[in-house]
Amino acid sequence: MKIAVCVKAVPDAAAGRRIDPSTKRIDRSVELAISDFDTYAVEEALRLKEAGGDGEVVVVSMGPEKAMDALRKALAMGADRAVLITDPGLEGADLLGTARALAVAIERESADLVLFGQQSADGGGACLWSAVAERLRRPVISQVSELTNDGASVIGKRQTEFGYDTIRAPLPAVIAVSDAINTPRYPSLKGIMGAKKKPQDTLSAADVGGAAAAGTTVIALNPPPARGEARKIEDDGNAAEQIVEFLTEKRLV
Amino acid sequence: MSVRPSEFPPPWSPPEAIAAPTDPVDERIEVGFLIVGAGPAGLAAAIRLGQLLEEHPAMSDRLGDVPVAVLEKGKAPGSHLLSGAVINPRGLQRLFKGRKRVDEMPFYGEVHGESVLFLTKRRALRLPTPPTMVNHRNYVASLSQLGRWLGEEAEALGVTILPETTAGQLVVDGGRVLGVRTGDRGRGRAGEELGNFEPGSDIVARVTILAEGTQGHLTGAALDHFRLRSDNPQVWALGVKEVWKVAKPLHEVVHTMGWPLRGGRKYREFGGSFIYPMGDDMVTVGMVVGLDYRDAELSVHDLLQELKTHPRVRRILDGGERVQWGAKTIPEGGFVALPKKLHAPGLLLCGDGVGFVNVPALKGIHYAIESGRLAAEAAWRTLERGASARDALRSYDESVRESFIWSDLREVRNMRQAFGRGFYAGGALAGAMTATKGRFPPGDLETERDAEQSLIVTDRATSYPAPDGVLTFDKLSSVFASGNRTRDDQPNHIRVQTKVPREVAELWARMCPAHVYEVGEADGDGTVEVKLAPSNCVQCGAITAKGGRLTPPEGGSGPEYTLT
Repeated sequence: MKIAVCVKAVPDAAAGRRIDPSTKRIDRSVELAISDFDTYAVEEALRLKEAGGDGEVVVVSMGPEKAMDALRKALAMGADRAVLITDPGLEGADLLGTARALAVAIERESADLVLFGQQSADGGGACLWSAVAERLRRPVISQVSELTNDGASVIGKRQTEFGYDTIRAPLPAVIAVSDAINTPRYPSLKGIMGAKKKPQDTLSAADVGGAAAAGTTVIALNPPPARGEARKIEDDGNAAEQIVEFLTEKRLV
Repeated sequence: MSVRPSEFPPPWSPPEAIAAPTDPVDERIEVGFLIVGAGPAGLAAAIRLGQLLEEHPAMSDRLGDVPVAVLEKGKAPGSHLLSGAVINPRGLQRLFKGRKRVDEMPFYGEVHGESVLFLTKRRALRLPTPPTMVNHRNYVASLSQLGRWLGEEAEALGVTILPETTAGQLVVDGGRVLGVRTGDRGRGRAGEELGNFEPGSDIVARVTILAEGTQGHLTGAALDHFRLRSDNPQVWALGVKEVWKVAKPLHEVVHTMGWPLRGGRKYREFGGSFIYPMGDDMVTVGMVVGLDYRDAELSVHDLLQELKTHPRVRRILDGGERVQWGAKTIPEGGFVALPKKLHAPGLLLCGDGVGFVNVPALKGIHYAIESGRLAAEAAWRTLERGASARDALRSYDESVRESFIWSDLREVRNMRQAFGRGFYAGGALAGAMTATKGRFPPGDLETERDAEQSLIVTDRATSYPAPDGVLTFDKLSSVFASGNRTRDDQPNHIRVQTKVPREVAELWARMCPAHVYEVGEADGDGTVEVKLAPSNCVQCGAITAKGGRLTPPEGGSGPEYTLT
């Protein structure tokens, strides 16, 4: 089985996230790291491959050229290949533009299964997987916390507000996994050492159907408002009562 | 009754860091040369080896798939690097001779003006710059940024850097160092294996170069195992610093002495502050204090906060914003504390790990770089036709002794020790030493171990400023500003006794800039419980100097410095 895992290189947490006011985008000139949420998808793909005994795991991403350094972490974990769509013409692509480019790259791979993390660690959109599935005309299951595969279809257990849905989808399918699905492995030393030698291909805008004009305009992008005054309740035996009192005061209970 | 922290030694012994090979021969990871630590010393060694490999490509067959590997416990090279720093470019110039010019290196600029101030609570008296401290032709840099750059240079030369990997044990077989065993990952709080447990591996190499920096975990164990320690103990200082975005540029490097430290001999408070410009819009400000101090209430972090309230310092930071914070120890024993030998079978030691620091000049980075370069050349000599490995490694000691590292450190060999006699007596002695280029005094002054200073308790802490979140900060928000993201459900990596007299517990709680220790309940027998929050740790190493032992936590833990 061939599995494509879509991952995103996001500004490393240590480098901090900054909005570039001139472009109204997150500043990606800093060090990039693979989005934490995506490592769950990489892990799940590796487990499916290991359980099946053979197959291939390809990580697919779109981003600046240096994003390849971040993709190497997925290769160190055990993925077989990396494909990076990188082109100045695709910079700042919106949801639909990104979905279109990824869909073309995935189609070129003719993957049986496409995995996503639940959302990116920077934008936090949590909808790219559905846009890609729509483009590919394939079924999609999101928030999957348990995934099984019988070769012809996959069964995803997805968490909802009211309990669990268990959904079967015929392959090929798109799955967005939640961060409850597994504990991602640490890359082994041999994995890290071998990662550089694994195939790493780049695709240009022309390879994925050209740069699309954005259908959306970013009007404003602002950092979240600073947290207001916080009240700290130390537990001296009646913390619970104090919390209830506080919530009552705020008319929250 | 006064107590000494050394009376409560950590539940830890050096043999824990020495091991026979664990993995069978065919499962060991083989590399050509193995370097522990991606700091200035380790990366200089890696770069020099990379250059030699480029010059002699035929040799690479003998070194295997991975000719040079560097282990780094931080997230990336630079993540755990912190220094002032005003750098003497000499080491880098020699390393990159004919390859890179100084203007291609990541410096914030040459030092054009400097002042040395003696502070009182409200005033600042300008002193003539002591000759050892003149910084003409030196450059301001962030060591963390320099480390990242050196890492890229090393990788461009074919060096393999393995970040988030700790060197947990030195692998020794038949009296020879074979390599290191890396630390396990994915253990729970009680040491149990979690679902993603990844055991460490034995990495074996032709030569292992330890460049672990201050309080090196394996360096300390190797010095004991191979009986290399000097008769004089090593001593350390603790530095805490912040990086600020500022509203107006600072045009000179500033060093201060005096306040908020106390000059009296009984306090043994040796140190001062530094304030350096990082371009036009950033400034770094730090406080360094020798860890032979005695007052259990002393906190270098809080002294730094107090320093910033001085009118002279506040003026520099006014309208600015703190962007990063960090802490690290500095080996200060100098020449007399250097190990008897810098090599053992299969092993070379360099950089801050062995104590190549010139205390009166406040410099060590160019010595680290030079020692790394010399270690690389000695390691390379083991490949030469007819060379014995033993002679090749021994040549490292000889070349260090012929280098500027040795002559510079010998000249100032007694200066740090002189300040054990208080600030004024120390200053006078240091002056005489400078004038005679180290010939006075003819013998060596005795060094006293940091942990052996008997403790006093004053009410020093009552005058630390309350954190306002603008100019002054508490420890926990500072740990956050270090980028620390240590997983908190991993085994405790700090070895200390947890039932000690109140003074000792208080000393650790105040000393630690990262709020790792808290003084707990009294036990009725005169002792108190020491409570630990190891995931706050920024691995500065102060605890090892003052009665405990820092060991490396899981790889990738700790601060993620980018500007320090």
